[in-house]
Amino acid sequence: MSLSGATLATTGGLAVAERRQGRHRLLRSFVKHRLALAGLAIVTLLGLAALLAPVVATHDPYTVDLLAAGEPPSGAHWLGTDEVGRDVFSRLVYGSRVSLSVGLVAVTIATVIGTTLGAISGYFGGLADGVLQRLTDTVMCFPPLIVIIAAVSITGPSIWNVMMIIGLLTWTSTCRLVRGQFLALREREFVEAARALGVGDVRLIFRHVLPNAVAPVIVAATFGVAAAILTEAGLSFLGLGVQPPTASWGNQINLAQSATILQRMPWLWAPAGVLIAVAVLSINFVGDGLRDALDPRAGSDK
Amino acid sequence: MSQFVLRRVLIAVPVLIGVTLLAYLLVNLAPGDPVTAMIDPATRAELGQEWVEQRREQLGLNDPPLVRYLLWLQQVAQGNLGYSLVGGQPVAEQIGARIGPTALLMGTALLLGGVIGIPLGILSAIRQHSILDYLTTVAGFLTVSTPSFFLGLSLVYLFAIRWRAFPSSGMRTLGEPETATDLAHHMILPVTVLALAHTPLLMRYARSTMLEVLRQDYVTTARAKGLRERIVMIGHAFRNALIPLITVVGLSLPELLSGAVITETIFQWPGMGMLAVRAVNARDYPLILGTILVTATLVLLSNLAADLLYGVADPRIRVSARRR
Repeated sequence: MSLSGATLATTGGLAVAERRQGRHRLLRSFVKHRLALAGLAIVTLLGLAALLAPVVATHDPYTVDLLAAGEPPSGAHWLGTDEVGRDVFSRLVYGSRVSLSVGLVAVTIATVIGTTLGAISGYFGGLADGVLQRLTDTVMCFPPLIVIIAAVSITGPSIWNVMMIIGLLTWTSTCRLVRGQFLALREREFVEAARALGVGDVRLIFRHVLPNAVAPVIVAATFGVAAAILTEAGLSFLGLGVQPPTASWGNQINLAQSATILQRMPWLWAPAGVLIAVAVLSINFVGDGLRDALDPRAGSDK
Repeated sequence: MSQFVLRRVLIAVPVLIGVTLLAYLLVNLAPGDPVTAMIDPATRAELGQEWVEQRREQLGLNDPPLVRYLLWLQQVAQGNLGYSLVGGQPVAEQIGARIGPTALLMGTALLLGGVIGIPLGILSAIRQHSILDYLTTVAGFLTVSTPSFFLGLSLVYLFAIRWRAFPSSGMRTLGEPETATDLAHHMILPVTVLALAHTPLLMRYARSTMLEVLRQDYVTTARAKGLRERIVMIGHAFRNALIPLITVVGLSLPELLSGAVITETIFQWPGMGMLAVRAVNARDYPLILGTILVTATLVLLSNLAADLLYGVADPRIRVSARRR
């Protein structure tokens, strides 16, 4: 039914609309691609800065210099210094290591859990599906940040705990996604053929079905990295994420909870906020570009 | 219809049990004993250690974990969420006082997000690939990518500190009569932060459901009948595109509550989010457990309500749900 509907729509009703849109279509896809490319360039740049932090940073991010405390941006300190004289720019450069690795590790955990449970759920169906989907429903009921701050307060706020907890709480959407893919794919002929040849369940799941479901997972994971970076920043902002003196983008903004710093030293928090926004935006653009490239059906142009 | 309602409610039961179990397990990884915390600290001091020991035995604290969970569940079912470790107030009372302000904040933000986001999303679907579509997409990405605490702090910096246009914190001006205008004045900044984070979400979903609807046969039929485009869009497509949004609003509640944690902290808004942060900072485990349990249950109930409403609005769901 959906096939005939789509065919009708393209040949019939939408033709009028499409003629009108044709002009913008090229423009739009071009600009959109450019956004994804720009995003990729910025992400690469940030990644390089994180890897080469000791080279990129102009100062040691941990050296306290009380004589240079709270200085506004200048030639010596590009983004000024904090309340104990540490160089803000260098702290942001080192902070990118923390923020990016939290994003990557948390999403890796979430993707592994989500993909495994989703594959089992969609492939086997029945009781396994029922139980796993109710588990997913359950986890989805919890407001992520409230549970994350509670869990961090119980386990202690370290970078590893933050990664683990974000990963353990954010696998649900990937699970739903993979389950949907498996439900659709398991009825296809190639699966039936493989099964007829005597391929076992595990091999069938990982070698035959999963590779066909991987594109949307990559897209979801990319958006997930952006979301995890935001979550870590939010946690650190609340003082429950990465603990000082270790620099992270979020705990740099945490300083602004003090009214004096918020008012008198905007260079302490504003650059960190802009940097988070730019990084997250870039990763989201890359995700959007990937979606268009890898998975046109689920794209925004459907 | 009644079969559909029954099915949905029955599915929600194991999820509710799961919610209580997960919340209980999470907080019980922590030191301390939630059943001990069920006793009012003042009473406990009065009755002495011996009584406490006796009571512990009576309450079955030496029982296996599952039994202890069931005992706790029994208390919760009777509305006893325990007593705060800080101050000794009943947790249920404290949470009850905070639900109103959070609901006010979230409800206004949701309404605002819907009023702005849904028409924009519908419009950009109708004019897919237009400049408007492109601009709203980019603007959506931009607002979704800006951390809400950064946005909140920037608004405080600009509007509360620099220009003194709006108050930076609280719900009321101290020492002044409680008026609706005063409340609205205090709400503007926090609601803006929450709504800005939420609008793009509703916009994107409105856009994609509208695109979905526009490909349906009945839209083609309506056009083929020679109906004017405007009538097809408003009378046929728009109304049907709204229905799936019911579910989206339900599913986005956890995210909205997470946003409320940050927003309430920045603006010192006396709601659930601020209570959660305070509980976590004070390691007040009964209060933490209570907050998690109440918010998750509220989310579950509103998802159930959204599901049922969806079934009322769209008869096809009632049938296909049986197949699932």
